[in-house]
Amino acid sequence: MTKRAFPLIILVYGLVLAGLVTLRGELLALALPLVVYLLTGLWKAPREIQLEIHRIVGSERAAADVPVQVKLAVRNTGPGLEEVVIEDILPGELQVREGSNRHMLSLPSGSSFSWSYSVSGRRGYYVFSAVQVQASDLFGLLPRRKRLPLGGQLFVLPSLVRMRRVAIRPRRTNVYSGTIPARLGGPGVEFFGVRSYEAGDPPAWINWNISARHPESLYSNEFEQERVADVGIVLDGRLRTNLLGEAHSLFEYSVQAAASLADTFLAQGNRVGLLLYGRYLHWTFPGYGKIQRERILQTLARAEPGESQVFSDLAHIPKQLFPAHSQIVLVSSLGLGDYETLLQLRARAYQVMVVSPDPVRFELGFLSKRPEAALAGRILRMERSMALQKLKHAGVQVLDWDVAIPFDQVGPGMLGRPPAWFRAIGR
Amino acid sequence: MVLVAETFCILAGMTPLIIGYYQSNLSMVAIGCAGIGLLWLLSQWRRWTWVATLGLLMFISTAGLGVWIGMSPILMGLSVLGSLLAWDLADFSRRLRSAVPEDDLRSLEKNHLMRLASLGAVGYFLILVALFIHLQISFGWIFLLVSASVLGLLELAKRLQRGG
Repeated sequence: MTKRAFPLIILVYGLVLAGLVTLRGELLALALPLVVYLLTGLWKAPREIQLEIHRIVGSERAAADVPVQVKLAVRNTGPGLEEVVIEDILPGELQVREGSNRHMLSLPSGSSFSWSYSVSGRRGYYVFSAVQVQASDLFGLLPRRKRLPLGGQLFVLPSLVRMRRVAIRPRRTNVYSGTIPARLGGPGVEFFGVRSYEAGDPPAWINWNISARHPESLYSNEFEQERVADVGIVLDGRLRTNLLGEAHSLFEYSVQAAASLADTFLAQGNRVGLLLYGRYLHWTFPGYGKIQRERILQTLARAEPGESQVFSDLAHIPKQLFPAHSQIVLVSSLGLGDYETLLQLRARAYQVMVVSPDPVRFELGFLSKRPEAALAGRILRMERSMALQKLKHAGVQVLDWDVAIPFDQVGPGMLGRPPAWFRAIGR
Repeated sequence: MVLVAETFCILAGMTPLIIGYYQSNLSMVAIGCAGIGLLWLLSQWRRWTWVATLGLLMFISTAGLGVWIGMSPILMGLSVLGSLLAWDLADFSRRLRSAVPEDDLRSLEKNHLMRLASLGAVGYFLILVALFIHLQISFGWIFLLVSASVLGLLELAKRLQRGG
């Protein structure tokens, strides 16, 4: 019996005892309805719960805040249940958008019931674990609970911005043709140089000006080959660079940028890997195409910021993961000691791009407008600006991103074509 | 539907006590019963779930006391029945609050009220039958029954302590 039956039992015993002690049969008579009530509850109490439950999650992947339908079908294969509450236990921060994840009903033996509801949530990986069933008699005296394990999962992927192209120029490219200038002459679009005519060259390639100056032979134009490259995206998940002020985090912005960049690089045919750098290292092995895109998006869906003593600064990025002379893209708001690491990467002949959500502007956005805060903001902005300038001088492509402006307005414009200095030095 | 039934049952539990005690010139107890009844009625809107249990304990104890001091057992039986049903309905409405609008609440309410009505009828019938049956039992039987009740109560208390 539950706590609910306790006052009834006390009253029954009290009346029976009082009746027996005082030899008053009327007191015993008063206890009779209570006894009948208790016995009816006991008689009608559910002996066991035998339910067959199936859950169908409409889609295993969805965008943030997009509703996903969940269907549940329940069949009672055991004895009838007079009052039963069936609740689909929702994982984490998923929220019911339409319908309900719990229902209260009466389920006779052999009967079935099905319903659907929709859920949505923020970026994350959600695992449905079980369905909770609570059955009781009609008076609720003897509830019986059962947790029926029932798997299911939902990836809520980060939102991403489609960019036409991101201009990168790593020193080493792969053999397959793509969109990245390979510093090699051959078929292509951009003019690369002039060489002696070879049999099979199309007449349109012949450089008639030079050939006229050298009548003894013909010369052909050469174009720069465009190939695919290895791109390693490093997502900085350290708490100290992401968490600012009172639980304001830049991490979601970084995830969005990383997802957009990965999508764009993969769409260009490149081989892309993702390193999540925070509480631990999570390395998504480089790969091509749509499957790799899905892998990366699923990793990003699971990504959480965290802190670790080992990975407190960027110096511990395992450089051996990235092929020599490849392109590294770091998405980080950058802490004070991180600039040196980037210069070291550059010194190792990696082509480095930094997409840096601006923590100073972000934090100033929710601080009070006091003069002290404004002054501190100015100092920090100058400090950051100088450090970023130093990176640019070292040949690092930098996107200083004010997160108040959406990435789809900043990214394509700033990353779509290489900066002028980059084109000039051609490194 | 449940709210109306619950209100009716609270009144059915409270009114016989007020009448009985008022007629026995114990108007203070009658006023106390009226106070608890009003508190119980108020708790339906304020959702004070604990009041129902308090009301049940108070009303049934007061009804037992009334029988002991010589009030009409039929009237007190009505009070016991009203309190019991009101207490049950209070918990049922609490359970219904966790249901969602899509649930077939009318059917659940109908089933519950029908079951409760039959239980009330059977309970009251049993009270009436018990009042007209008089058995003479010896002191030995009384001693045995009292001992069994005390031991049973102790055992129950132990079990509840272990379970809780």
